[in-house]
Amino acid sequence: MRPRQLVTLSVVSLLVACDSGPALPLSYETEHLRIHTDPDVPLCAGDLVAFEAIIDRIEDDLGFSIEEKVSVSIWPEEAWKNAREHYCPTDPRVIGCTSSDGTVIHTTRPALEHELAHAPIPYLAPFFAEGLADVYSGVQLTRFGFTAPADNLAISAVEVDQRTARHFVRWLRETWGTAKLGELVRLGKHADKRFADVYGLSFAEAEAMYFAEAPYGYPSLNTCDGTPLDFMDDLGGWRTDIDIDCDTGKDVHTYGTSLMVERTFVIPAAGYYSVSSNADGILLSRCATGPLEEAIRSSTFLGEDVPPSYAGEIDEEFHYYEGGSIVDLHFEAGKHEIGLGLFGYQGREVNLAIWPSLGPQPVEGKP
Amino acid sequence: MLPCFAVALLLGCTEQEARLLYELGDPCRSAYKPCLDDDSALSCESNVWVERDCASVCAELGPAYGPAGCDRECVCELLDPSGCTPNEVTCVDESTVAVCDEAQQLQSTPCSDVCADAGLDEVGCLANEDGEQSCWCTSEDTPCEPSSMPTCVDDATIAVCEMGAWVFVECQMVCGGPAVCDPLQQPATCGC
Repeated sequence: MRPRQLVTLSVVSLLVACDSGPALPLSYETEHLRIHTDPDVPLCAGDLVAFEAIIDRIEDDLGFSIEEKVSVSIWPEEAWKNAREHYCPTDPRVIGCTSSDGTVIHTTRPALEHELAHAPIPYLAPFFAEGLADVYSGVQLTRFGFTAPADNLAISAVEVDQRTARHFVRWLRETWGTAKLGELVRLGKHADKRFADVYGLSFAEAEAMYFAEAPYGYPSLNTCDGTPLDFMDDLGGWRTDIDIDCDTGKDVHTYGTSLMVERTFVIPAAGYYSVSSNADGILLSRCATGPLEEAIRSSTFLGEDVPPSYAGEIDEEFHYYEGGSIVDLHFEAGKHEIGLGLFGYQGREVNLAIWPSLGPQPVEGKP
Repeated sequence: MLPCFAVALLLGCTEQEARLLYELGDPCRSAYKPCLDDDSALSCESNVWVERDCASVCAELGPAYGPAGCDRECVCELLDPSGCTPNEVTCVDESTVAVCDEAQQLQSTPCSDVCADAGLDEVGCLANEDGEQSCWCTSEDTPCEPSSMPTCVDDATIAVCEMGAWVFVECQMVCGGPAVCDPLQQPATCGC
């Protein structure tokens, strides 16, 4: 149960042809989606809720909705090369594509959220389209990039600096709000040239402001959105039982070939806490509280028992522990998220307790 | 039958990559200082790349460090290689810890003092599983409230508040045989 660090390259295809190719069976249907999957790789109720939430957020934020159900094919990675050659650009870096009318998606599971975010959004320059898809996938944090936004405006989807694209789009969203961003998207392919119609300043002026003021990073839109745990006075911490049921649990989702559910809690003061769960594994991270103003080095949090979720460069960071035994871990103060995982797709009830440690623990002396 | 796509180049787009922002005066957000040459580096200050010599970069680490060239980033070496590394923590003996200060001098402190500052009792100066040394402290025998509930210390030990102090008891002793502490019970209990 480790996250896959990858660069999502997807392309909004322009032309639709009609030759046949490999196909997957229809496995799930939601309000907006008809989802085709490998029958051996199921989705959970929480996955379907999360997919719909992506579409709902784009409608709420940007004002674009899906009129016709989207056909989504989620290909196993071993079958992706063949599927890509039939349905998507042949560039081997591409791990998903969405038709220009947003009605058909072919992708692999890691890129699915990104592709779903493409579906409701009309054609834009790849810089905006890829940035919007990354931000509205909900799962990707953003960082200040290594190229200038203006230098990416005429670059194709496979070559655009996605790091800069998603951070610039997120900065627009956080600086001027979602309504303005929706207006920009409505400009379609004229979004860069008529940028001033929406924001009252040219793209070059906005870029200069971005260079001067944008923070180092933002957490993902979905960061730490797990249900809060109830505090138990008798324990001085948190204790709960959770039914991890793939079919019915609205917050149970797949995680690779595992099932996962997240919960959040707030550590009042830094120190050692004992963690116990009979889940197969737990993922722990400290939540971001807002934009990351200061740049961080990737080694900054090495060795910490519970790293901040924003320590990662692409995916959110966490530390994995096996379940079964009591582990004593050092937590900083603040909001945290814990993921409880089960290997395979067979659900069961799991328990969790977190409380201040009483046992032996290292204490740092002062120099 | 699913439709499939023939893909066209996005009109008006190019395959050229954008220029990397790694020149003096370019905008930046970075905690890294990549080399410019053998003894200077780029430094992201006030959101712009500026040039810094490695001597000033190393001076930021404290008076114990001096420059020794640039290899991806400035290389900073201890001025006294035989001295300790600032902020390094070592056990002087089983109950005394020493922390290396900025002048590469070890400053010793009894673990009893370190633990007392944290409101805990001393266990000793020990290394963890990664070999990092420090004082270890425990709540055993420290004050507790009469209302404090039994609490699992680890899988095999339970802490109970007796006469105003935490007492650690092996669950095996409680049960008279193999047993584990169950933190899911209200309150925690030894599962016999």
